[in-house]
Amino acid sequence: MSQIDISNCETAREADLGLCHDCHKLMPMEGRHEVDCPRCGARIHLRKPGSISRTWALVLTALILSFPANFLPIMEVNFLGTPDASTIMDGIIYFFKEGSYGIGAIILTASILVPCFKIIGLILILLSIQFHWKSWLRHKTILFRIIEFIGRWSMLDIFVIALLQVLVNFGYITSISAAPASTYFTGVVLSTMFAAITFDSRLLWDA
Amino acid sequence: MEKPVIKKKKGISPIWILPILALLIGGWLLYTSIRDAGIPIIVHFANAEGITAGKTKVIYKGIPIGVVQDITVDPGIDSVSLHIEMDKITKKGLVEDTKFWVVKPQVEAGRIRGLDTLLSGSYIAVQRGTSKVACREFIGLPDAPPIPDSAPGLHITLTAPQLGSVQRDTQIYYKNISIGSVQGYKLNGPGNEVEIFVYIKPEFKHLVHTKTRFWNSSGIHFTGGLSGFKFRMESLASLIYGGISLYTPEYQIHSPLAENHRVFPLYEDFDAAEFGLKLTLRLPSAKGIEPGITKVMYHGFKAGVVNKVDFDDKSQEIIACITLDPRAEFILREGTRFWVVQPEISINKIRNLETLVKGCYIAFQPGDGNYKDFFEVSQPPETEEILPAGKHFTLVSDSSGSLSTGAPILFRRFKVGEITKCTLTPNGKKIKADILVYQKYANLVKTNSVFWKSGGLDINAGLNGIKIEYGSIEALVAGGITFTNPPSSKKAAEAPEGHEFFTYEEHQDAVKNTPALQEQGLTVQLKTPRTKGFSIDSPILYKSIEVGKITDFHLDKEGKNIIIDAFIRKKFARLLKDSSLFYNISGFSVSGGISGIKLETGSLKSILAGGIAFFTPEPGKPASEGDQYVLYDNYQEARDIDKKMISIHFARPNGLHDDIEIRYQGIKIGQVRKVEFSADMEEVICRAFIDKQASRLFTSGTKIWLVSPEVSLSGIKNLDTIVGGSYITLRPGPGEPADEFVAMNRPPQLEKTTSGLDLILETAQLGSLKKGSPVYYRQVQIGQVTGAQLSPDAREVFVHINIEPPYDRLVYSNTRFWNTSGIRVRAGIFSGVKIDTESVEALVAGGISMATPEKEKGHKATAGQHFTLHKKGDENWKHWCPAIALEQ
Repeated sequence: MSQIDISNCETAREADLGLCHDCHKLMPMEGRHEVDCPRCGARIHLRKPGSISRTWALVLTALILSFPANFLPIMEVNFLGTPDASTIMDGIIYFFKEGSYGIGAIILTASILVPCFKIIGLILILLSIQFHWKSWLRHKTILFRIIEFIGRWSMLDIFVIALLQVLVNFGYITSISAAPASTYFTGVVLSTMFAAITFDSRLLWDA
Repeated sequence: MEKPVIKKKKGISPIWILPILALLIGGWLLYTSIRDAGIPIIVHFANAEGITAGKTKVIYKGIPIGVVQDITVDPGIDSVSLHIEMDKITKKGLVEDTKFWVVKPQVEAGRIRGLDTLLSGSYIAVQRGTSKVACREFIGLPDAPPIPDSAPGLHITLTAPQLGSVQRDTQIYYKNISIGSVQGYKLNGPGNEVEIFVYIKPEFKHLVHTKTRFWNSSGIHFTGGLSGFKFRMESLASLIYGGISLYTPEYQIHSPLAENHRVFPLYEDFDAAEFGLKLTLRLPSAKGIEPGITKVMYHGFKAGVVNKVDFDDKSQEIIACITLDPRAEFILREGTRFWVVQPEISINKIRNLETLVKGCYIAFQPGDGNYKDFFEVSQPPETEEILPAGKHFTLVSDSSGSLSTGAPILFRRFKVGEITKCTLTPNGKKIKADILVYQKYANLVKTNSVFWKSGGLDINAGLNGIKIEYGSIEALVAGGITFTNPPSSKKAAEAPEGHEFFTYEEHQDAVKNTPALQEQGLTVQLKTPRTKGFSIDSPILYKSIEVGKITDFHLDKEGKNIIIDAFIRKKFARLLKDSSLFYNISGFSVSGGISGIKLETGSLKSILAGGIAFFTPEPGKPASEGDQYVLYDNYQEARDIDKKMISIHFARPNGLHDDIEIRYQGIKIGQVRKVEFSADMEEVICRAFIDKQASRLFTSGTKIWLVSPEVSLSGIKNLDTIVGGSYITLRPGPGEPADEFVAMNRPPQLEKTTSGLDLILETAQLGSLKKGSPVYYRQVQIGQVTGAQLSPDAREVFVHINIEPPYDRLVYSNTRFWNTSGIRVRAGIFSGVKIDTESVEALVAGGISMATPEKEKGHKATAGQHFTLHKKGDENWKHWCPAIALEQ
């Protein structure tokens, strides 16, 4: 193995070093694009292959799905035989009207703000890479970390509906069931989470 | 260095399927939403009460078909516009005459509507129109529209002179089931009648025939008079909300079914609807004739009813208008006779009793001839009453009370005959009644039968209770004669036809004068200086069971005592012996004291009415008729007559009182009857009665003392006396029988023992030993100290102990006894502290331990043997453990 002089290299790529995503072993790539990690056997890439296009595809999916997710009813409350379907926004308005600002704010954040933030943030990052914008790179990285972290919390709504559907089931008197938007909303959350996974933040710095 | 070759990947990543898929879904959703977009309509309502934009639904047959999107006020501010988005499928139904109205919860008398809306909120109901012209703007109705003619069911019109309480939604009832409702009403062309539009639900359509009659069943019908009243009510709902009932007369049941839009008259009421044929009847007076109530009856069947009673000025007669059941058409003939049936009550007969309750009615006898619908009332036909077959007898009585023609003859309160005629005897002194006993019962009358009058009520009230006797209701009203056969008369011959009997005024007279009717039993005489609230009929009790009664009182020859005739029923006569003792149990006696309160009563009857009880203390010969007994004042007195009386002198009579018990071995053998001072007032003398069999316990050597509770450090003694009160006990001694005793101040020191081994221990000091102190063997109590006394030379104390069997076998002549009273504490710097005590009881009350050596036990101890009581035990003694068989 040849000794690599890394003193002149600014990035690992320049030093021809690859990092195993799974066991974090640092190893020389020796010019190859992909090698198998000698320690854990995982595939090592200098950059995730097709990261940009995959992320784009997933973000676009999320963007499209977020329309039915927000405009179709997500939950159906059946009270004395009269079904009453409500969208996410209906629920938030309901809670704010009832004075439950805390719950309203949580749902607003988890169901509307976070998915929007994620989609917009990812689009911003992707555009930045696409057009080689070199400014605010550090901030964009922080933005990506936040997106990655908060991704899982967007499932809150789905959990709430799933729980309510089981708990509030008194037959004719009252019952709650999931409405079509819940599927699309799950789609939005999953798409954004996968987008965050397929995205390789190092690409930001390649610009 | 080899340059890396960068290969550009060709083609599109398969991940792009996702956005395409999402796009397809989105596109399809968009398409369907546009395709299924609702139809916006506007409905104008007077107000939007209970309607919420975005929530209130349009519901058709229970299914939501639209939602109110927005509510706006119309420019004229006199109404509101509801912007409703209707489902696409309703497109064809939204025509000119489609009707909308708001359904709100309505709670009104007789019905609750829209109850579901209470919880789910109001909704807008819709009724589909029949027009073909599409429309998008409607005027909402204030209330549900009438059911359209096109709806399945029956639409008919009723005509009535006035609306009455009929309203929209008034229900149509058939057998009180709602089968339809009034949809609307209006005046007819000339305005002289009201047309009521009625809708009958399809499932009840078959109930309406062309000949069906409708009447207004609103509210309660209540018409009344002295001769009765009429009360009829439909369902409660109709009471408040009005109602229309219908009915098809049975003979019209096969008339064809009614078709739509048929017109029926609405009758004012039930009667008006039911009967059709008119009939007028002239009456001399309207007495008892009540319009609407008085019926025309034929052999108990209703054929019509009097509708109206008019006074005809011309002929000065009453004219009753009758509506007759059409089925009775055949009676409208010339030969038919009508008459009024009224109740008749007189001394000798009651007729038409049913009219008392039902009111008068008009009866008729159908005749032949031409059709005729006006009649005059004629006299009721005379009916000759035919007497049934039977035997005739004659009763002779002093007065005529209860004797009237037709009055029943009762046997065991059952009517077996009647009086046919009452006459005075020629000399005018007696009344003679001819009676008829029906053939079936004729054999009941014997030659010795006893007759008495049972007319009206026989109320016999007193402390014994109130006894009301009456015969049948008929007898109550008309009087009657009752007869019975004395028990012994079974063999008596049947009375021959025409036999004459005397009639007693009342049952008691009959009993008094007929020995055969009197109860069998034994009469004895009781002698008493005074009566205590007895009366004739006061009970005589034996063990609280009534066995007889007092039949009479009289004074004895000297006039000093009262002689009471006590009657004992035959059944119980054998209980009375010549040794029986009678006592008074009138009222109740309370005796009380520390030992409790004793309340003695006989039966409740005896409390109120007084009573006498008897008991037989010892066997004797059966009593015979007329025996004389003494009546004692109370049970005690009676009991005590065979008891021994003793006197006990008490110097310190603490806790003595009357009725204190005398017990021997815990069993009551007597009782103090009286506590009194001696002549010198120094002491108290108790006079006590002692049971006979216990009298031999009382001899000159007998020691008597009072047992009262004792609480001391060593324990509580005679605990039972705290609750049960003190008692007197005794220890028998030798000597001659005596009846005068001096009580001891305290129990004798030496307790007499009945079993076990009595020993005497000699000790210098008694210490804390006292009577009852335990004697231990290996810390098991085997006996106790029974007493202590100074030795005859006064140098020592003799402690008497008693060893209970079988432990007496443990004692041998070499057995050691030592005092274990109190506690021994030995302390030393090296030996520590040693505390020695036998038991807590011994600690307080003192105690004696004993041990027997293994060897050289000596001979078995004998009763009364003397031992030395050591001050303390030798350690070695405690280790002795001889094997001694406790059981043989």
